[in-house]
Amino acid sequence: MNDKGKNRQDDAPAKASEKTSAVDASSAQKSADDSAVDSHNEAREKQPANDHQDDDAGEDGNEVIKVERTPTSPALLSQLRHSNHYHQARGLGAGRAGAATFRVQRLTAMALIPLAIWFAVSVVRMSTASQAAAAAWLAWPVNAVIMALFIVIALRHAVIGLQIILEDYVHHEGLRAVCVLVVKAIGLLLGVGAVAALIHLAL
Amino acid sequence: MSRPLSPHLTWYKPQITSTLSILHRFTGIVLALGAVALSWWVAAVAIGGETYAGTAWLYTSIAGQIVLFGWTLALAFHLSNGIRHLFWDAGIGFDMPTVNRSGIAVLVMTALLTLAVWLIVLLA
Amino acid sequence: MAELRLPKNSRVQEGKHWKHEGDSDNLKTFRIYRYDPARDALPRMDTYSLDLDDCGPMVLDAILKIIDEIDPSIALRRSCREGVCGSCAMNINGTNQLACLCHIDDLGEGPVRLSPLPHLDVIKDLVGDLRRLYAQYESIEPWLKNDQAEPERERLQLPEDRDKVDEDSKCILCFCCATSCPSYWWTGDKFLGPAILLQAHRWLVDSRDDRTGERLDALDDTFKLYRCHTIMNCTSACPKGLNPSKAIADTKRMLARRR
Ligand code: HEM
Ligand code: SF4
Ligand code: SF4
Ligand code: FES
Repeated sequence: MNDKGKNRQDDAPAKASEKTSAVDASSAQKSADDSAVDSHNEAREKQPANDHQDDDAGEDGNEVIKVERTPTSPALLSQLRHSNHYHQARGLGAGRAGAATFRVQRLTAMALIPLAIWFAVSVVRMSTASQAAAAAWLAWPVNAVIMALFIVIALRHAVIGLQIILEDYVHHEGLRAVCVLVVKAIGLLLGVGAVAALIHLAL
Repeated sequence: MSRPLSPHLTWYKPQITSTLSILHRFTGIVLALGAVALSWWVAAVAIGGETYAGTAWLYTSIAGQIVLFGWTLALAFHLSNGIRHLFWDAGIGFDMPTVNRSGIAVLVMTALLTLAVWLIVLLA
Repeated sequence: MAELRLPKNSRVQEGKHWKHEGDSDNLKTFRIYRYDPARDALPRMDTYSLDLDDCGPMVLDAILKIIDEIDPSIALRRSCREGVCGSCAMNINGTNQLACLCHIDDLGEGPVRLSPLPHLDVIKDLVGDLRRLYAQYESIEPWLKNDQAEPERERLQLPEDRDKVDEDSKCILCFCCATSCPSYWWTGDKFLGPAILLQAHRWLVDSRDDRTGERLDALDDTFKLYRCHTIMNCTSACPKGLNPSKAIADTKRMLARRR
């Protein structure tokens, strides 16, 4: 099995350069020494009559001009398709933001463990309280600070999470950008609103 | 020529792994909606008056309490499974037997956490 | 949008039932995904009954026997029939496995359902199009990149350094893992998937490779790497007992450590 792995390594660079040359050929059809281009040229030379008709088409418009489409050889097509796959696999390169996002998502998750436990116990209890009791409870600085931390960190964590979900399922780039923007805007709005409310209560 | 796509989601046998994973995602979304409700509650307390009365009425109604219960359940699951995720991110617990065992542990912990929260709430 | 349903041209129809001739009390039913681009508009499931009394023990044995004795038109890939070439990977009763390593007896009662590896373009019957996966493999440049002077003979490695690539290099590129991964189903055009990321990791941890940083740069991408949500379908599918999700988590940790 190790032998097999080694073989793969060895001929991989060779294969890569082969494919790159196929890409070059399709974009710059001028370079005559490439096999991919040769087949095109050959096909054209077989139909000099067509080229001629093309030239005097403007003089008498009666003639019906038919330029046959040269069939591309299946071998060339599959070669080009492969190079397309390779091109697509490389894409636009790395975005370089993955690791940073990942870190923030994990750090907020860790911070949320104690905050969420505190929150679950205290707030479920407060949900049935009177406004005065709730206001007094939130006005107590320790509660206010923990609550603000919880809301802000949870929103940061949730916005990243929702963005990841959108990236998974919404494939249209424009639509995805709009969705992500909306999620971020809502997150910001809620965060600012909640913190403002807490400051208002504490003062 | 368009070739058919081989069957995927509906033919793939549900794995404990993928089921818990999609639950993590689902509960994450529920929690995010909960964060909206929470921010609103804080704002309502600050505004007071009619706004708070309406919000309190909604949140204390039977439906509100059921939703709140569902939310704590989601939080308990997401929290427990989130801790499992953090262990994975640290490179711990990757062999399949451990993965399956920690999956069951998450379910047990979810039930216990939810119960604990509501016991504290109801007793207090 | 990610298509959770199969497109119209991919909905599977009920196919032909091949009657078994002669009698036997050890018949097993096989339902096999069939599609021939030259004849069929839609894929279908054909049903075969096979006498297991004089059949080898593995699913691959059964398929080859069906081809020999009942229906020679079934297409599949296979070569080594002992789990080293990685070509006979397919979906067997809902999970991805190598047909040559899958005991028919372990599949329990009831018919055995065979279909191509999930979410691939079907070339014919059990053969899926793997071109994108090979291209993605190539994109991680799976060869040694060393900046130091070439040695007289091979580049040597400490035994403990060799151990680090030991597991990853057992991968046979069967793609059981990649095609079991829901993230790869939905975003496989950009996500490299578990098989390729395991291979990328193999070069990241190789003590002889000098481009670790460059390789990490190329992976630091929301789509190429971070579509992995540690779902772990990959690890439970790998017929060689490898752990792609661990390799991916390791890669993410290397990236996190750089900051
Ligand atoms: C109110 C609080 C929380 C909200 C609104 C929230 C929301 C979310 C959302 C929407 C996701 C994305 C899910 C996905 O990608 O499938 C997510 C992922 C995650 N959450 Fe939370 N979460 C909360 C609390 C927590 C806590 C307490 C933990 C603690 C351990 C945690 C750990 C994680 C982790 C580790 C992930 C990443 C999972 C992955 O990589 O797929 N979350 N969260
Ligand atoms: S662990 Fe990552 S690569 Fe493996 S199945 Fe899950 S998402 Fe896919
Ligand atoms: S990691 Fe396992 S399942 Fe994936 S391609 Fe390699 S051998 Fe196959
Ligand atoms: S035939 Fe080689 S792995 Fe099954």
